[in-house]
Amino acid sequence: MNVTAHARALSLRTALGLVILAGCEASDPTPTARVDAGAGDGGAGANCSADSTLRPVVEGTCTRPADDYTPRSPSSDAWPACIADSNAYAPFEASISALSRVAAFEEIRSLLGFGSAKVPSSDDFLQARVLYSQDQGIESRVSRREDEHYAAAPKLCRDMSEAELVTYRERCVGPAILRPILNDAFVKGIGGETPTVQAARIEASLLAWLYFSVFKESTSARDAAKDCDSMWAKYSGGRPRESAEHVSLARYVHALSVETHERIYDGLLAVRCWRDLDNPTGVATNTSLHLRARTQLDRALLRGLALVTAQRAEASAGCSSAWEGVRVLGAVLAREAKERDAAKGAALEAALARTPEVGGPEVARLLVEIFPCP
Amino acid sequence: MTSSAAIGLVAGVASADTLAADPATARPPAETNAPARLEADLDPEDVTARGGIVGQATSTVTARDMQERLARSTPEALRYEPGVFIQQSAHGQASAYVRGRTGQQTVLLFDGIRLNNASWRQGPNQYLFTVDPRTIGAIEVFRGGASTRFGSDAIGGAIAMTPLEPQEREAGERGAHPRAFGRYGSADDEWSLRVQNDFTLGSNGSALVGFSTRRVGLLRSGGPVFGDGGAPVLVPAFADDGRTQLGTGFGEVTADGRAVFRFGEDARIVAAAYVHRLFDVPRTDQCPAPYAPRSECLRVDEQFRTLAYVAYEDRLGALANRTRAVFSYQRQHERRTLRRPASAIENTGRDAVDTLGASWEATSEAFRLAPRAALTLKHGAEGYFDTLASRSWLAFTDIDVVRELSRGQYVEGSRYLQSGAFAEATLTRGDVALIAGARLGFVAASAPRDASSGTERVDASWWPTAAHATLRWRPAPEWTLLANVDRSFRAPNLDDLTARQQSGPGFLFENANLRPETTLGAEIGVRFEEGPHRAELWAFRSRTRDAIARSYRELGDCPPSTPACTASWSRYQLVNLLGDSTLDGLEASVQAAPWSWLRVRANVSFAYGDGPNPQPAPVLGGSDYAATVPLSRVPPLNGTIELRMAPTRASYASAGLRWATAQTRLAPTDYSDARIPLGGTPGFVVADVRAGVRIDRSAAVFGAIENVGDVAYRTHGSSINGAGRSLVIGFEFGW
Repeated sequence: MNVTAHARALSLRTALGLVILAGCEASDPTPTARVDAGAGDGGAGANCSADSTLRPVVEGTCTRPADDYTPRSPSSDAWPACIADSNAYAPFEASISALSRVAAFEEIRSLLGFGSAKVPSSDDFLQARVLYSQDQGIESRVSRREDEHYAAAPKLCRDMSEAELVTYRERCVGPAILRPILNDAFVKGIGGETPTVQAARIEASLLAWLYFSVFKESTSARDAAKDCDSMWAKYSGGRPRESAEHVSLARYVHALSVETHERIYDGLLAVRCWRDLDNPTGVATNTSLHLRARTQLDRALLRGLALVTAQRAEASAGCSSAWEGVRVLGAVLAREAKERDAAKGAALEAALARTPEVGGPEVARLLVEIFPCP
Repeated sequence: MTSSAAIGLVAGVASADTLAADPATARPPAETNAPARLEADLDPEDVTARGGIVGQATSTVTARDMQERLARSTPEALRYEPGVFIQQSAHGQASAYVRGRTGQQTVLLFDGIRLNNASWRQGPNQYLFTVDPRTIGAIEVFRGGASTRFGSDAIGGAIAMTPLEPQEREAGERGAHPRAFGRYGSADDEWSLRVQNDFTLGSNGSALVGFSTRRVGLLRSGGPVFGDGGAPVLVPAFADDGRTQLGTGFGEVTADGRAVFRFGEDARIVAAAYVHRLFDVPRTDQCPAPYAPRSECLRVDEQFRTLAYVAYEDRLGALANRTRAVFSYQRQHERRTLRRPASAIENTGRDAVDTLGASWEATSEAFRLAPRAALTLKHGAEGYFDTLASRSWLAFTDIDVVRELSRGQYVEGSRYLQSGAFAEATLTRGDVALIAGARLGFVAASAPRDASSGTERVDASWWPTAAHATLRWRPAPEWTLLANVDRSFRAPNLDDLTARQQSGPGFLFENANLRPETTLGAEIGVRFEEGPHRAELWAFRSRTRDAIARSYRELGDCPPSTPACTASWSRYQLVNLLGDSTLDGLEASVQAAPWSWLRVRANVSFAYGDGPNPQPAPVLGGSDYAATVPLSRVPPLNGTIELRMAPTRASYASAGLRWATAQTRLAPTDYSDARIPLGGTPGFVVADVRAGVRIDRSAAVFGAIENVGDVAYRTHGSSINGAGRSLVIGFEFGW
C-alpha cells in the first residue's frame, strides 16, 4: 500500500472513530425512587407541639420614642404627611416577586409541621427541600443574605470563598451561618434522623432569614425604592395589618402579641413613608429620616423575634426538639442583646448553651427583659 | 465557455492576491456552481451564486478573509462586514445581528441547508457558533428580507455558508494532501489544532476529512465597562485582577467529512457530515447570575450539532439547468446545568431537536428573448420537520437524589414543520433587470398539553406568503442602481409557543396564541465598481406587522406551577405588537486599491428601530408612558476600516479598526437586562494589526495583535467584554 492509500485509509478510520467518540451524549439523570427512610423516631421531644404553650403576651404600656412614625394616628407624630398616613401599605410595583418566596416558606411550614406535633417524613423533607431550592427561591436569597447590622466586609459575601465567609460570618449570616444549618437539617431530615429537631432548625433558620431580609430590604430601599415592597412582603406576605389570616413572620408575631405586630407594621409604614418623602423615583438622600424609620422597624422586629424565640424556649422544656431552633434564633438576638445589656447578653448566650430544661426558661425570661414592648 | 473554464476564470480572480495556499479548498460560492452555458452578454450576477439573491445588499467573507482575520468563530469572521454586528452572550456563543435583527429573525444556511429550527429563541442565540469556521470556504451575508428564497425567519437577512470542497485533481496528480492548522490566542489561552486530508476516492470522487480540537480558557478583557455615572455592570464577574472574566472558556471537538462523486460532465453527488461538539460552555451572564454567589454557574455541558446530508446536482433540461436536491438530517442537542454547589443543588435541562429536511432548487438556462434580453427562472421547494425532546431535573448532590420536573424548557414530543415553494424570474434587457419572485409557505406547530405545568396544547398552522421585486439599472458600466421591495415573514416557532426560560431581562414564558410576523421592506442602493475599486450605499426601511416582542407581565399572569416565574424580579411573555414596528438604516462600504499592494476597506452601518410599546397605556394615563419605544438591542452606529498591504504574493500586513458609538436607545426590557450597562452600552474604538507570511506552498504563519489599545469594551447586548490586548498566532502546514 502506498503512502496515499495509507493516508486515505487513516483519514477515513480517524474520521469514523472521532465521529463516534465525539458524538456521545451524556446519559440523562436517572430519577431516584421515592425517598423512604420512614418517619424515624422523631427524635427528642417527638410527637409534641411547640405551639402548645403558645399564649398571647399581655403587653404593658409601651413607651415609644417621640420621633416614631405612628400611622395609626398620623396627626400625633412629627413626620411630614406621606403616602403611608392612610395606615395601609402602598406598593411601588404591582408585582412583588418576594411573595413567591413567602409562599414557599408557607408550604415548607405546612409540610414540616412547624410548631405542631407532626413528625415529618423523609419525603416531607425532600419536598420541602425542593421548594427551598426552586430557581430564584429561598435558597438563592439565603445564599446572598448579609446582616446589615454589621459593617460591610471588604467584598460582597457572595463573592467570598469558604475561608473568607468564616472570617466575616456575622456579616455574611446567610451563606456562613444559615445555609449550612439548612443544608444539614434537610440532609438529616431526608435521612430520617431526628426529624422534629431538623424541622425546628429549618423553621428557626427560615424565620431568621425572614428577619434579616426585612431589615436588609429596609436598608437597600435607599437605592431601590421597590425593595420596600420586598420588606413588606417578607414580613406580612403582602397582607394588610388587620388581615384575618396572617402569614410569614407576621403569623408568628401576631399569634403572640397583636401590639408588637402592630408596631412592626408601624415600622414598615415608617420606611414606606420615608421613601415616599425622599426622592421616591431615585436614590434616597435623607439619611437621618431613613435611620429613624429603620431603627423603629428593627426595634419592633427584634421584639417580635424575641417573643417567638421566648415562646419556643418555654416550650422546649416539654418539647425538647424545639430547643435547636431556639439556639438558632437566640444567636441572632444575642448581638442586639449584648449591645443593650452586656451582662444579660452574656447570660443569654450562656443559657443557650445549656439543656432545654435548664436553659429554656432562662432564655425566655432574658429575652422578654432585654426586648421590651417596642 | 466550459464549466472548468468558468471556474478557472473566477478562481483566478479570487486568488490573484490571496495568501491562501489551496484555492480549491477556499473557493467562494460563486464559482462552486458557475453555469456551463453562461451567456457572454448576460450579467454573471444574475446566474451565479447558489442560493444567492440577485440585486440584494450582500457581502462575502472568503476563506482568506477568515484566515487573515484569525477569527475565533464563524460569527467573529463577520465582524468586518457591513450591516453586521456581533453580540456574545457567552465566550462560546455569539450571534450576528444583520440590519438590527438576529437569532430567529435571520436564517442560517450551510451548503444551502437551513440550520434554523423550532427551538431557536428570541434574540441572540449560539447556533452560528456551532459551525466550525475551518470547514467553511466562504460566507455570504444577505442583508434585508429574504423569505422568498429562504422561507420563514429571513426577515432580517440570511447568512449562507459554503463549505470547503475537496480538491479536484488532474490525472497523475498526487492523491492525498494532508494539512494541519494550529492557533494560539493569549487572551484566553486558546490552543486549537485542525488536521485534514484531501484525497481522491476512486476515479471520479474526492473527499475532504477533518478533525479539530480546541481548548479555551478564561478570557482576559481590557477591563470592566461602566454605565451612567460610573455604575458597574452586573455581568460578567471578574477575577481579582479586574480583567479576567469568570464564566468564560470552553472545549470544542469537531469532525467533518465530505465526499464528492462526479458523473459525467454535469452531475455530482455530495455526501457530507459535520459534527460539532462544544463542552463546558458557561453562560457568562449566569455564571454567576447577578447577585448570586460566585460559586454558582449555569453551564452548557454539551452543545452538540450534527448535520449529515446527501445532495444531488445535475442539469435536467432547460428549466432545470442547474438542479440541486438535498436530503438532510440534523440533531441539535443541548444539556445545561445550573450548579449551586454551596447548597448541593443542580438543575439540569436537556433539549434535543431532530430535523429531517428535503429541498429541491433549480435554475433554468437563460432563455434569450431578444438580442440583449433574457429570462432566467429559479424555483424550488423545501420542508424541514422538527421533533423536539425536552426534559429537566433537580438533583441534590449531597444525598444523590434526583427528581424529574414536570416539563423541560420546551414540551416533550412537540413537532414543527417549516415548508414552502417559491418561483423567481430574472428578466434582463440591456442595462435593466427585473427580478421578481414569490413564495407560498406552510408552517405547522404542535405540542401536547401538560396539565401539571399548566401548559396549553398547541395545534397551529399558517400559510404565510412572501414576495419580492428588484429593479436594477446600470446607467454606466461602473454604476449600478438597485431598488428592492420585499415581503418576508417569520412564523412563531416552538420556542415562542411553548418555552419557559430565564432570559437576560427576566423570566420569559410562552404564548400559544401568537401569529406570524410579517415584514414589508424597501431598499435602494447604488454600487460603483471599477477594477478593484468598489463602493456601495444602501438605505432601507422595513415595517413589521404583528411583530413578536416581549411584554412585561405581572405575577398573576405566570403560568401555574412555575415558581421560577413568580420568583423572578421581571417576567415577560411574547406578544404580537398592535401596530407596526419599523427599522430604518443606512449602510455604506468602500473598497479601494490605489496600488496593487495596498487595499483599503471601510464600512459604516446604522439602524434605527421603533415599535409600539408592548405595554398597554395605563388606564389613568401616565406622564412617562411612551406609545412608541425603541426596539430591543438594535446595534448602534458602527463601522470598520481595514488596511491591507501585500508587498509580495507571499506576505501581507494589515490593520483593522472596529468602532461603535454608544447605544442609549433602550427598549423597556433592556432596562432590566443585566448585560446592558445603566443608561446604555458605551461606544468603543478597537484596533487590530495582523501579518502573515507563506514560507512555501506547504507552510504559512499568521499573527495578530488584537485590541492594540487594550480597550475595555463590549458590543451592545453582550454578556462579555471583548478581548484585551493579546496575541494570536496561527500556522498552516501540509504537503
